[in-house]
Order: sequence, then structure tokens, then C-alpha cells
Amino acid sequence: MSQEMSILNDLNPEETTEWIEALDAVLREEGPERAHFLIEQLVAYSRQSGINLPYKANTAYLNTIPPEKEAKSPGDAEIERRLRSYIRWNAMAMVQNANTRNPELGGHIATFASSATLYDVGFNHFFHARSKDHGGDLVYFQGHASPGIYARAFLEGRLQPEQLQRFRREIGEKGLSSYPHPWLMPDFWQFPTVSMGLGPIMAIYQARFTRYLHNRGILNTDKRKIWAFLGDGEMDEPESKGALAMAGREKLDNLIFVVNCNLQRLDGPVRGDGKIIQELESDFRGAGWNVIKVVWGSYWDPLLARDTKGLLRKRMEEVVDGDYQNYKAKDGAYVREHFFGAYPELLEMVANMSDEDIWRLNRGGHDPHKVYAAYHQAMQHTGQPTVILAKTVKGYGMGHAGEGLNITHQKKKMDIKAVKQFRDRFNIPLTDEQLSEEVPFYKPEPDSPEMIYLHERRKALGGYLPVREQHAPLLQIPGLSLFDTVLKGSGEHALSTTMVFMRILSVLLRNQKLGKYLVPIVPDEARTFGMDGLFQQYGIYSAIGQLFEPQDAGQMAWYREDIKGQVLEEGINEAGAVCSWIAAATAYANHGIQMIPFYIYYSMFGFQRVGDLMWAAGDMQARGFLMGGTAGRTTLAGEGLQHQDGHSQLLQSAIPNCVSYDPAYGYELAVIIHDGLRRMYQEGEAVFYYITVMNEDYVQPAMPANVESGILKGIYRLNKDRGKSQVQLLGSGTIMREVIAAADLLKNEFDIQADIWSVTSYSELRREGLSVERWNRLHPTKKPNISYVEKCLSSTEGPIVAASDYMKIVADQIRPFIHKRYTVLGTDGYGRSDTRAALRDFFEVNRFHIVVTALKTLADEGVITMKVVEQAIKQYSIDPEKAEPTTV
Amino acid sequence: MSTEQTIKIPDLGDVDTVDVVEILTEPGQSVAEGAPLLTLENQKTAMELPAPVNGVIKNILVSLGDKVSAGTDVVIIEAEDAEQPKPENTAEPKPPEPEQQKSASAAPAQTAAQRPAADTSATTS
Repeated sequence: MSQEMSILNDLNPEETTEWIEALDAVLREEGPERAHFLIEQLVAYSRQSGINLPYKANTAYLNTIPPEKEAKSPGDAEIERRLRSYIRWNAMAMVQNANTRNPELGGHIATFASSATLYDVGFNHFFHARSKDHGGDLVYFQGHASPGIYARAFLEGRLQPEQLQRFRREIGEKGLSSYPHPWLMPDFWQFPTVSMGLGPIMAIYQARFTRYLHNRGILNTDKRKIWAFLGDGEMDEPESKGALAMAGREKLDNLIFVVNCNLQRLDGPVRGDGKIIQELESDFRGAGWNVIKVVWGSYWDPLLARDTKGLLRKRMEEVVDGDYQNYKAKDGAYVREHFFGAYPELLEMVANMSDEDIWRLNRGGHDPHKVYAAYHQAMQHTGQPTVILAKTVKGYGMGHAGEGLNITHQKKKMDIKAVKQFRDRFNIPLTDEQLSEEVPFYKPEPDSPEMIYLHERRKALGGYLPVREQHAPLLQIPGLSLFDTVLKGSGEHALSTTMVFMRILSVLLRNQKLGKYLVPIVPDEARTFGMDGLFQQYGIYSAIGQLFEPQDAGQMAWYREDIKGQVLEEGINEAGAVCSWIAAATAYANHGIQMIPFYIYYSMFGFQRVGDLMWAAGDMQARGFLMGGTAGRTTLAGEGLQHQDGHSQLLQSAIPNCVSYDPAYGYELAVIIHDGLRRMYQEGEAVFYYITVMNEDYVQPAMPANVESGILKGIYRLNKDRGKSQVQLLGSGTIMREVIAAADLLKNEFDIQADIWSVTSYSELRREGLSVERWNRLHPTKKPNISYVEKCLSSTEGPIVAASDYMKIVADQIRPFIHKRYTVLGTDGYGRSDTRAALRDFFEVNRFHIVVTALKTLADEGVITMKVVEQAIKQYSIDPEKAEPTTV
Repeated sequence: MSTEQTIKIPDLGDVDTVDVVEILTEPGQSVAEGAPLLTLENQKTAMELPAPVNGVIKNILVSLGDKVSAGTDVVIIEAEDAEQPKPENTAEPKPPEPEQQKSASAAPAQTAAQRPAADTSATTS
């Protein structure tokens, strides 16, 4: 404490003044660059001399770019202002009208009101569309600002008034989705951003992936920028800031964040007692970003120029965000009294200004000149990503209906008085009579200077945005024989499906046509999955190559980094890794090229940990493979409760376009991956795959004849001969082998013949079953269809028993389509560490439990007596009073 | 003058032996440095043995299913003279296909990363 005090206290003011005067002379005579240099030298010398000088990442609460250094916009400011006003108006009208007709629809006026200028300057001067000589910028629009983006597309003629009237009414006629959703508007939106925090992290990994494509020589991505528009409240999401350091480390100067600092989150101020801009400045700078603050608008410039004593600057520093917000909810007189009134000299400074003049003192983010200068500098900056922290007013222009009010985020409707004020403030040429409950949209005549300007600007920037194009050429996938080495089985060699997957991956990587499109992604678990062999052969992507000699240099599987490396080794970082996967899996829409990403990870840390990003991937119609490694609650054995996954095969089923499989054998895996390649990259289907692979070693059989179709549909019979079977056993994944062992026991010890079925996908069977059931329901007089699973099982003999390494509900998915006794075994409950055998006994999915279950169902049907069942329980030393696995 | 080299299995780290599960080349084939020659696998990992130099495969000394360990002789390659152009048959990514050409035409030039040196013993032929 005392040391801090001595740093802060001025022990010798006279000496201090001398130093400052010296610096002042340099500033005057030689300019700020020289002054900066000298200070850096002094700091460096101090550090060398042993003074601990902690880094201070904040600059003054002023614009980073001084007025004399601002690049001037070449645009017509007056026309741009008018266009921006019309866009503001139509955005407001869209939300207003939707809620006049249907108050339940909701919507947001205030977010776009605060960010209209930030977008407009981008649209008029910076955002480049995909065109002949430009790959296209990728813009992540803030989700809640969607009405403003629609309003611009309406002026551009890309959306019709009928569509604007159907904002948030998407069913039936063509409407507009509430937020950016490529699934719902596949020709318009590219990036779903409204789940807070996903936009920023996806944008960072998109920028990185764009570089990866470039460095690997696959695409020239020079000139392309990734813009992400975010909210200051949104920056509180861990995902928003979690990957900032990566962007700094990889020097992603193709990335520009624009944080709309309107100081308000949903419930109130973001940092009422502090300053969000200052906090974010130090966060970003610490992570290696170029920070451009746009705090004050041009009207402040003359005042700051007259602030020779620094009192205005002092006042700017000491006021907290809660007050700044409040000023804008009040009026000029209030600002005079409460802001300038703190010091008589400041009151004097504004004495000649009217209250209106004071009210007009604008925030940087509402000043197109300041915003232009910031964007211009961001475009020029090299070697770092840039963040622009723009101070704005939430609900700008909404007046008493929302401007700066705590309730403004939820505001979906303004009263007529506020609507008229809004019209007057932005000079919308509509009369009182034209304004009723229904607020008309306004669009100038096509030959008006505004419209001509609007189209000219976009033409100069290559076309209109946002637009989602699916122009990537489809790939030709070779026949299944590509995977012959896998299809022929492993002989006597025991290996896990994870290793089979590695073989499949190697075959694909080696393939002359497909190899270069592959993107293997792993979150620091490559050795777990046996992927380390890829390091030397395909290289780990590193933006700067490899500057060190790796410890294992000279070994066969050495740790090789390369700027052309193909493997994305993401570190312990599932959120980032899945964002890389998303960028690659949507490259067909955003880069015009189909990449084939395989993301392999601990299955427990997938849907459970980053499920919202996977949901977003579904929305974006990602095409790629998610490989859930070391899957299965009893198969991972020793790792215990946090690692043993018994439910990812359930969680995936929530995503409608996620196709999922739990294969038991290598050939099943090969058939599934092959068909996935065909469906996604040859046919261009909007699906992605989730496949679990396990780490248990066993002999992989050769593929029997005529099973491909069953593997893909989700079930096929494994036993060749179909004798007089009395019971049907269903198995999947590693538990398949317990099912086969159970069938042997039933035959050898109870003389009961069982059919054995391999179920590769309960969720695919269920989806098809539900679809058939629905069709039958809606076509009651037509001949009913029969689902595939019903076709397979209805003609079989005896009851059915299923076992898997997942929760019982996974196998239960097909129950509605089975009109027989159906009993399911699964691994409900928390995992724990032990051997596979002990775990399978504990969770009651081993061969003995399968036998007992089969016997019980047969006894229920009267085929055998209950005595036989009881005897089996004894024989296999099963404790009937054993605690239920879900309770311990 | 060309040089015949016997390619040996390099240091396998903490792995003792691996199985030869795929042979990806044949005698007489021209290969580029880095092109995969064999796939080696054990229960924990799989890896490809790359060609250490541009050259022509003279002989393959192992069969499918063989167990090999560090130092095992596996392939004899006749190394090409350094001045000769690289053969086409390589595992290197090829330039983008025509359909992607418009955006790929100015793909950046990168210095090729150093390929791992497989353990070789050279004899002059």
C-alpha cells in the first residue's frame, strides 16, 4: 500500500513540471511520434534498470484518432444521412407494425437505432461483396439489429414490402426471420449471431480459417475482411472474449470487431459504475489487438480544442457510464447542469451554447465522419486484428419512448407521439395523416438521388450484402472400394473403431482428388485418438511455421508445424475447435469451396459442452463430420464420471439435420463415412454427421454381403443363417460384442436361438418411423406405409431386447414402431472408474444381463417359466437387490 | 549419377513395433519426397512412412502384416539427382482445380517446410 501511495503522490511537483514541460516541447517541436518514441525509450530503460513498471493498457477516454488524423469520407454525407434516416424509419416501422397486429411477436427497435451509423458507413464504403476480383467480406451482423439490415435490403429492392410486413411471420407466405438464421433465409443470412457470444468466437475462427485456406494455397483470401458487429453487453459472454488472444497471437489483421457500446444491456447499464469502453480497451489491447476508440462525435472537437487546462478531459474521465446513459435519457439542460456543472470553468465553456446545442454534442458511434475514420484506419492496419469501440446511445432517436431508458431493449412499439417525433427528428417525408396505428414504409423514387447513390455505392463494392450463395462445385466421391483396406476386416488383428477411423482418414488424406479439401481438427487429444501420425505427414497448421526444434525431431511421428500444415490442433479448446469446424463446414457457402472437416474430440465434450455452437452449425447447414471419440459410458473405462459419455447419442437427436451413428464395426464406419461424403459433398445435402468411435480393441470382421443399405438406414441382421429364432437381440457400438456373446450363451446354455441385429442409428430409424407415421396419419384412406424398422422386425419371432452403451432412451426411440414386447438395456446414471467388465456389470449391459433380460421377456410371453429366469440370475451371480445404477 | 538408399524405419518414439498395414507404392514407381510409402499401425497410432527424397522405388523389403521396428530396412529407393524436376506423383496438395481457379490464382508462395528425414543409409550405385 505504501509503495502504491508513493507512486501516486507527487513528492516533488516542481520536478514533475520540468519533465512535463520537456515533453511538451518535444510534442510541439517534433510531434507526437517523437514524443511516443522517447516515452517508450524511457520505459524500456526503466525496466532494464530494474523498475517494475506494470503495463497499463488504457489510454485517455478520448477518440484514438485525433481530428487532424482522421481520414475524410469521400461520400456524400447529406445523401447518406437521408438514406440512413429512411433505413432507421423502415426498421422501426417493421417492428412497430408486426406488434400492432400481433403484440406477441416482439422485436427490437433500440439495438439498430443505436448502431445504424455503424452499419451504414460499412455498407456505403467498406463491406465488399463477393465479385470477380474479390472473394467477399464476411459480415457477422448483430442479431438484434436484423430489422435494420432488412430495412436496407428493402431500399435496395432485395426485399419486398410484403416481406417487411411479415417480419417474424415466417409460416406460410414468405416472411422474415426474427434474427439472422441461414436455415430460414438461406439466400440471405450467412451467420446466426443472436445467441450471444457465438458471433464473436465464430468470427475469430472464421478469420483464422480464411488465413488457413490462403496459407495452404487453396484460395486467395487477400483483401477479404471478417467484420463482426457486437454489443457491449454481449462482451460479457465468456465466448465473446475467450478467443481474443488467439486472434492477437495469429495476427489476424483480416478481422475487425465493431463493438456497439451503447452502455446498456437488457436490464440496465453494462458497467454503470465504470466505463465499458475502457474495460474492453484494456482487455483487447492485452490480447494483442489494435484498439480504436470512437467515443466522441465531431461536435465535441471544438470544445476539446479549447480545453487547454484539461478540465473537460478530466470530467470525461470521472463520469461513469450510468451517468452517461442518464444524460441521454434527459435533455441539454440536464447535461449542462450535471456534466458541465461540475466545474465553473466548464459551465463557462458552454455558456454560449443553447441547451439544444449541448444536446447535439454527439457520441462517436453516431458520427459518420468519426466512424469512417475508424474503419479506414482498421482497413489499413496490419499485423493485428482491430476492435472499434464505438460509444452510442441505445434507442437513439426513440425519444421518451426509449432513448437511453433502462427498458429500451424490450421496446417493440412506440406511441404515436414518439413515432411523430421520430419522423421529425429524421426528416421522413410522411404527413400526420399518413401515420396511423399502421406505420407506412418509406422508399424514395427509383430515380431519386438517394436511390441512385445507394445502388452506386453497392455497385462500387461489388454488389449487395448480406447474401448467402451456394456456388461451390460439388465433388465426385469415389466408390466404396476406396475403403477396401477397412472393408476386408482386420484379420486377426484387434483394433478399435478409432483406429479404423484413422485408417479411413489416411485414405482420404492421401486421395489425389479429395485429400487437399480435408480439414482434420482436434482439441489437443490427437495422441488419444492415434492421430499423432498425421503430424509429420500432413503438418500442424501454424501461422508462422515452426521456429523451434521439436523435442521429438528425428522420430517418425514428430511434432511438425508448418504454415501449410493441414491439421488444426486447437489446444484444449472445444469451443474454438468446433468454430474451426463450422468455418470449414460452411466454406461451401462462404468461400465457394467445399472443405471436408473431420472434428474428432472426446464425445463427452461435444454436444454437452458446446451444444449451442453445434445448434448454430445446424442453422448454418454445416456439412462435415463430428467424430465423438472414446465414446460409450462403459467403454472408456477408467476415466470416470466426467468423461464417460452415455448420452451424446441422445443430445445429437435434438438437431434435425444432424445424422448420427453408433457403429460397432470398421466396415459400418466406412460405409457411413462414405455415404456421408456422397450426401454432403456430391449431392450437396444440408446435413452433417455425428459418429461415435470407441477405444476398445477387437477384431474387425470383413463386411458381409448386402448390408450397406441396412447400415445406412440404421439396422441390419448380423447373423447369416436364420434358423428358428425365438428372440431378437439388438446391439450397437462396442456393446454389439456383448450381444453376440449373449446369443451364444442363450444357444449353448438355454437352447434358445437368437437373431442378432446391429443397430447403427436409433435416431435415423426414429426419424424415418415418425415420418411414416405422420404420413399415415394425414392420409387415413391410403394404404399405410411401413417404417423400415418395423419391416425389419415385424416378421421376426419372439420378443426383442436391445442393449447399447448409451442411456436407455436412445434405444427406446424406436419403441412406437415395434408392435412387440421390447425391452431396453442402457447406461443410465453417472459413470465411474473401473474396468470395462465391471462397468458393464454395474450398468447391466453385459452378456449376462442381456441373457437374463431375454429369458425374462420369453417368460413374460409364456415361452419359458420364470423359474428359468431366476436360475439364470443365480447362475450369473447377479444380485437382484443390487442398487439401481441411477441412484448411486 | 544417382544414389540408392535403403529406407529404414525411423525412431518410433515410445512405440516398439508397428504392423505394415498398407504398402502404398511399388517397384519402378517414381515418388516425390514426402510421398507416403507405407502405412504403419499399432493399437495406439497409425502413421505413414514418407519418401525421404525424390526418386524411383527399387525394391520393397516388407510384406503386409510384417512387424517392423526402428531400424528395420523397408524400402530401397534410387534417389534422383537434385537438379532433376520433381515427379508429379506426390502427396503434396496440387494447385486448385479449374473451378476454384479464379480465387486461387494468386495463392501465396510458401517455402516448403522441411520434410522429416527418414533414417536412411546411402550407398552409391
